[in-house]
Amino acid sequence: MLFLQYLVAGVLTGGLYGLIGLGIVIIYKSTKVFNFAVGALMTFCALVCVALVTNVGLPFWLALPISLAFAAFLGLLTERVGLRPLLAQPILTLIMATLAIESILYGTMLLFWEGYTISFPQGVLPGQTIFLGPIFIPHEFLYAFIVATACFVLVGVFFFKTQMGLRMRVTAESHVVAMALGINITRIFAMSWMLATVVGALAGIFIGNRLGLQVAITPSLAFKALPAIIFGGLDSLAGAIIGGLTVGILEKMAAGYIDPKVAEITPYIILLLVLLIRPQGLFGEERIERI
Amino acid sequence: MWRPCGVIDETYEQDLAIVRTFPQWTLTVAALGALALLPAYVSGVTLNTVNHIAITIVALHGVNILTGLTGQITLGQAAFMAIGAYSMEMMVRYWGLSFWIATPIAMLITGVAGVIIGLPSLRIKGFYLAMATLAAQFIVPWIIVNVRPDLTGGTDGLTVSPPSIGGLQLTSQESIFYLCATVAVFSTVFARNIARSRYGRAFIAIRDNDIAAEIMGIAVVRYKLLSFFLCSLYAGLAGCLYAIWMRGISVEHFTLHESIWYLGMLIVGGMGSVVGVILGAIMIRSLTILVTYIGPWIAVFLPPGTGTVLELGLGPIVFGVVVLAFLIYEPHGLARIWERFKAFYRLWPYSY
Amino acid sequence: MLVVQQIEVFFQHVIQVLKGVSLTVPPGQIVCVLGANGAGKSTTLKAISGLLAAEDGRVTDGLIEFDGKRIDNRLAHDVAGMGITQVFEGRRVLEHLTVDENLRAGNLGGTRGMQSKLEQVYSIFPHLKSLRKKAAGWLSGGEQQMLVIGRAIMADPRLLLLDEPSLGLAPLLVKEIFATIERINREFSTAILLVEQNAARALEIASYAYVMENGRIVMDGEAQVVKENPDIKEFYLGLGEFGTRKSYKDVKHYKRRKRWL
Repeated sequence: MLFLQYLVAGVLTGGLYGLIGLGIVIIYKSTKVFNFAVGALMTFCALVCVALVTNVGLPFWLALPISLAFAAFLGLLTERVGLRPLLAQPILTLIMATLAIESILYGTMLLFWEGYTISFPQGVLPGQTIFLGPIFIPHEFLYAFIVATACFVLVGVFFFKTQMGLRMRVTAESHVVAMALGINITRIFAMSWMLATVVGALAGIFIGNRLGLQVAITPSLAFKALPAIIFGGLDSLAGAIIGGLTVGILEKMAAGYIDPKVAEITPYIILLLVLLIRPQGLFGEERIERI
Repeated sequence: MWRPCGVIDETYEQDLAIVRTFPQWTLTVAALGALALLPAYVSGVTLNTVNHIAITIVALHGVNILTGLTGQITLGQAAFMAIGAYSMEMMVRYWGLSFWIATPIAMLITGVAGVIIGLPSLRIKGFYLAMATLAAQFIVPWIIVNVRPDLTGGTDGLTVSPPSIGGLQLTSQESIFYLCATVAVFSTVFARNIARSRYGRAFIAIRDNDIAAEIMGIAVVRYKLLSFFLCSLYAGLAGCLYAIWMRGISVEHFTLHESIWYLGMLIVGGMGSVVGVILGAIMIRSLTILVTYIGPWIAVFLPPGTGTVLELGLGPIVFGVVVLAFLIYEPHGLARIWERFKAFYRLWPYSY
Repeated sequence: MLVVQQIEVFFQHVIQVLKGVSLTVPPGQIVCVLGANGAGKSTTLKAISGLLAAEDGRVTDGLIEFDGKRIDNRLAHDVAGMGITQVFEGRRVLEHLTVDENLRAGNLGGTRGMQSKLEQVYSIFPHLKSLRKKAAGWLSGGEQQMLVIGRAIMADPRLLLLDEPSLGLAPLLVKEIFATIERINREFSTAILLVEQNAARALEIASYAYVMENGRIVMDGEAQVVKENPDIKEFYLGLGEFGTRKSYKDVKHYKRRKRWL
């Protein structure tokens, strides 16, 4: 029974990791930039959403789309200011650029929200914890899980069924070929940053609902999604969700069977192991090499 | 290495010299003299900052060897410093060793830890490696806090008693300054020598193309691990200095953000340049100090109550903006600007 | 239709690759550019299609006009939008995408007319139709070449820039590819600028030819005329003075001087 409880908790948390991971994968797939700023972006947008609810007094269903629009804008701004001038630079430059953006956002958040824990007012999301026999399911996580699943389906459809998604995949494959095929790759970059930040903001808002947001701590939650996507493969959408679930479940199992404290670093231990054993992940695209 | 026209080496000794011309000697002696006399002129608060800069320079030399020369990205320098600081303090505290003996041992321990963390670098590169060191940055503080909190003081950390030399306790900022400055000068000379030796050239070859380097006969595995070892050695030393400078250690001093700042300083200073390390450390550390002075001025224009937060938040913002600006406009950092300035004054007033 | 006038191209502000290249492509014609490796043929194509910027190159002098509009140093996707499509050297298929997706990606507009265009391409390359769900990276060299040409046709170009379509293909396949190029030119009246090393084949289908060396056009003329030029025969077609195949036995140890230098 306890096992089931851990499993459910793991799956629900894993959904969130998967959602954050999805944001990273979208950007990585089309721009080959690894976004270390994802945590700060996500926290920022979630904090904006909280501010809209508590300070401005908007109802949640109105604040949500506004903050998502803000997320899209923030993603666009980040790409324009921080990464557009650095097209085709070495990997360290790109990593450092996202870290610098992370630092700017972190400082800005400190200015506005200081170090307190900020969370949504109680009962923003309707419903209450569900009890299935001895297993309980926090309804916020259930919502998060449903939204995460919906996001995966939508992003999947977008990438694999629409012409725009196809163009994004072409851009991921080769920038030069994409340009020759008449694809405006800078627009693709901007689009993927916007999309990714919106997905990240959704994750942040759900985290805010359940755990509360803290400027110094919440961004580093996003780093727990790193093993999820490395595990799944950096450029695989399916990998992000399976990796997310795996990491979530392992983390909860470690918390339950070993020690809650161990859970804090379980994702990082998984990360190290995956990096040592199978760096391209489970579903990562291997280079097709025909001789 | 570029040399001005007319400076010609006639003997091997001249070729090997770091300080080669008379003006350079004059400047070096003058700079060292000024450094020695510094405590007489500046207040304790400034000296405190100078000490911090000196410690930063030591740690940054390590990052420069690993990231600047060898091209292996590390997001874990602060964690290495934590290993150094904690192992030093625990040896002093529980084994009663003196600081002067504990520090070299602590450095070695950190070096070995660095080699272990560097093992993934044999298989992975780029941001995969960045993530491996990131994992270390989270795992090391966790181990410190949770495995033996009775020994490490858990989240509270430990207080560090000042070391003594010849009956003199290093308690004042002045005495710590002399220690830090000496260490910083010597580690700079050492770093400079590594950069221009066979090891430095091997590191650079690995950075530019590790496969080509291997074909040229450079043992990539050995040099990558050596690079991690040297980086951690510096980190361990910086951690020990940090411990006695702060008079205490806690994992909160060795955060991911600290590690990111080291990388940022390296970008601002100039990757792979020893001069850049010094310039970058001075620039970023002084900027953060400057921000605390400017903060209250800006706070006048903001709603009341935001003043104290401003200082907290402005630092990271300024840091991010400066790093981003350097990445975009001068990716070779202050070191390149310094080179350009030197070229300018040598030629002035007749350019060309 | 396409006019290139005295263009000079520099890479990274210092390396000069083209030193005043001029050429014209009239509507509906096949024009070929011949030349050895490193002569600047591919660079010329990239200068036209706007892909120089991706390699830190720039057209520093001269001009390129397409239908009377300047296109030098324009962004690549703008140029592609005007009806110029480039097919790269070395078959740059999108490896992880299927054949079908590769072709769809070539379509510039929205999804309108996608089906009919796809059918069109599959009618030209019937073989591709049986492979449509396969990842492009696993196709054979000839299939990949067909795929990239098909992808270019999807864009409905008025000018097709082909960079060495015969590179590394078996003679039979080369023949097929060239037949297809002629067919595309005939059926869609697409103008084609063809860069080739296989001079004999290129001269057969082209109406006009340019010869490049060291970043300059050293000779140009009607394809028939160029074909009959003794130097071209000697150096590009590998034929002896009397039109017989030259045997390596007879090659002298000194090099015959080219007369145009």
